[in-house]
Amino acid sequence: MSSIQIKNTQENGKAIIYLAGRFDFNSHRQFREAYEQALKEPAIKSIEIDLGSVDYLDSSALGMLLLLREKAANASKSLALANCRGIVQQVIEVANFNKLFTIR
Amino acid sequence: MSKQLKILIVDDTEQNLFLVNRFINKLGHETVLARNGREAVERAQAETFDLILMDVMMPEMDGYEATRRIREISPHWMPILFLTAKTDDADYIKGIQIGGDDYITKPINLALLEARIKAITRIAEIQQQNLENAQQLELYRNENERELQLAKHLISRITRSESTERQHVRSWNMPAQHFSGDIFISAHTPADHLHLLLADGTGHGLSAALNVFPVVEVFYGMTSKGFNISSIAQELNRKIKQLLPTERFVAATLVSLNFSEKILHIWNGGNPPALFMDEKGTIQHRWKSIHPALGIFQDHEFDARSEVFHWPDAGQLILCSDGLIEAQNRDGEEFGLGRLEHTLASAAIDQRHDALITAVRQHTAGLAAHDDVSLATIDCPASDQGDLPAQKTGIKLDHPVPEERACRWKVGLHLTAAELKEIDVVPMLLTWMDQLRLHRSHRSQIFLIFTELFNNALDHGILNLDSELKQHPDGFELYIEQRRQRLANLQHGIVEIDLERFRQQNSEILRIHIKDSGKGFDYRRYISAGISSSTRLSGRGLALVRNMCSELEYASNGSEVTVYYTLA
Repeated sequence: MSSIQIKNTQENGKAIIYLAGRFDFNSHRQFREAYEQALKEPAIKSIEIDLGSVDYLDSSALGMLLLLREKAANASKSLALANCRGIVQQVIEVANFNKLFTIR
Repeated sequence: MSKQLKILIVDDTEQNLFLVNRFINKLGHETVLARNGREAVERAQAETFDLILMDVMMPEMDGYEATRRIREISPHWMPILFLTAKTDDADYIKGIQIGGDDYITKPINLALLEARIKAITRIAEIQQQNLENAQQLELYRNENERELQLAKHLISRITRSESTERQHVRSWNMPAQHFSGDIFISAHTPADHLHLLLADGTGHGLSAALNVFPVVEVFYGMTSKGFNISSIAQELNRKIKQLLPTERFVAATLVSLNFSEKILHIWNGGNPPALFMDEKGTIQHRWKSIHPALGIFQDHEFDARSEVFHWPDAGQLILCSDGLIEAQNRDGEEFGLGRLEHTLASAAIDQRHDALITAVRQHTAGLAAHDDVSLATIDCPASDQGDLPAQKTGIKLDHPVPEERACRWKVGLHLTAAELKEIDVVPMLLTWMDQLRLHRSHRSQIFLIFTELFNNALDHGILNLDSELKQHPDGFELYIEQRRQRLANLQHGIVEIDLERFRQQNSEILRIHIKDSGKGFDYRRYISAGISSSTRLSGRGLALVRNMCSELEYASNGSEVTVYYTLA
């Protein structure tokens, strides 16, 4: 089973979480560990989720993004989704997540 | 001290038997003795041992034969150690092949025997643990199975999924697991509009099925009271937001179909586009998801506005969940929206539903679905063959209603602009009627009377809308949009509603009086329109009301109306 690969980079107060592969329920723990690290770091002011290399995401992935949205708001950090294309863009569009997230 | 074992010692030589027995007892283990192979088999059949020490050369039945039989009859694994003078490799291999586990050569080295027993003990303990685990697993499995059965039963009852057979409607569901996280349910309003809900909870399986639970009762309850789909969507969103954790939500398409007026309202949040396809296979309209799914927005952020559509010619409404669009074939290729539209367009209108199911099945070719798949097709005929709400021609009043009458109860309501914008008035009135124990058989008629009179007061009296607008192409959509805008900007306006139940002669009568602060409207034009003139999009309702009531009186240029409805 191809699973998600997460690369976490941090510079200038911005954390970028790069995701690759299948973003679904199996990525839950890995994804949470990645963003919790960014959330508890006071120097980080904004978080970007780079979905450029994700080739599939399902509704539980959308749920994880919603959860992160809430936690980022509680931690007063901005959140954006970046590089949504192909199927990812379609799913984000149908879910109308552009009304909930900054999309770059 | 390791645990006490039960050991069977098999030897035809009393001296050996005595020696080994005494040694093993000294080690703290329990022993059972047998003097030949046959006895050993009988013992092993009667009880289980942690270890069997088996001599090879014995009268009646030798150790090999006894071992072979024990292996045959015993369901439990019992380690068997051969005690033998024979030492060559061929014997050793034969013993192992027949089912023995190890050898100790005679004369017996007691230290070696003790070490072997310890080794066997360790294996026996693991064996025992495995057995217990397997039993535990079996228990869990059975318990899980029972719970699944119960959950299945409950879910089918709660969603009333077995009773969704309806005129005009066909539906299909293919769950990815035991439970579908998709539901498709339908119900009629008191005015006989058909409400549909296709909901898809996050994920699949039991947890997804639980997600859609809260929506079911709200949908049925509010539909039966006559709330419109915007009110239902608003309440569903609130309920799901309140009950489910942040990461869980429910994609939903809500539809209200008015077959007699050929109008549908639709709200799509998070589901694939709903389609309206005419008889020729042309898509007349696509309703893409323009809202996030239910349970994401806070109540005040939520946009409950529905889209409206009037179908001039016969066609079909098609709803599906994303599981259908995303169903994959062996190469990982999705079924896709293009294939869905093509399959539908290529089939005759009455074959489309089945053609699409066949196409999806061929595409997935028996592969397990990743997600629940749902499909619903709804026939929208050009002329409605369905029944109007049960009609009872109003019994004319024998006598004029006197000023002084035997009133049983009376309710008065005074609504200003702020309330008119927010409240779904008719269902509220109907809820009161229920509380006042008005017999249910009157429900749909009273609902229709309320709806018609109140909407006339609001639309024509307060909002000053002209029904003629509906006669234009796209007129209904324009009318609804204008209504929405004017209502949103409404500053002034009063609607007064008085309800009264009284008795006259031998009749129980309901008096409904509605007065608005508008300039009135040309009510005569509406009343004179025949009930059967259904080609017109308006006017039918008032003629219907007149037929149901014992008396219908307009006054003050149309801004005041009184009806008398005979209850019994």
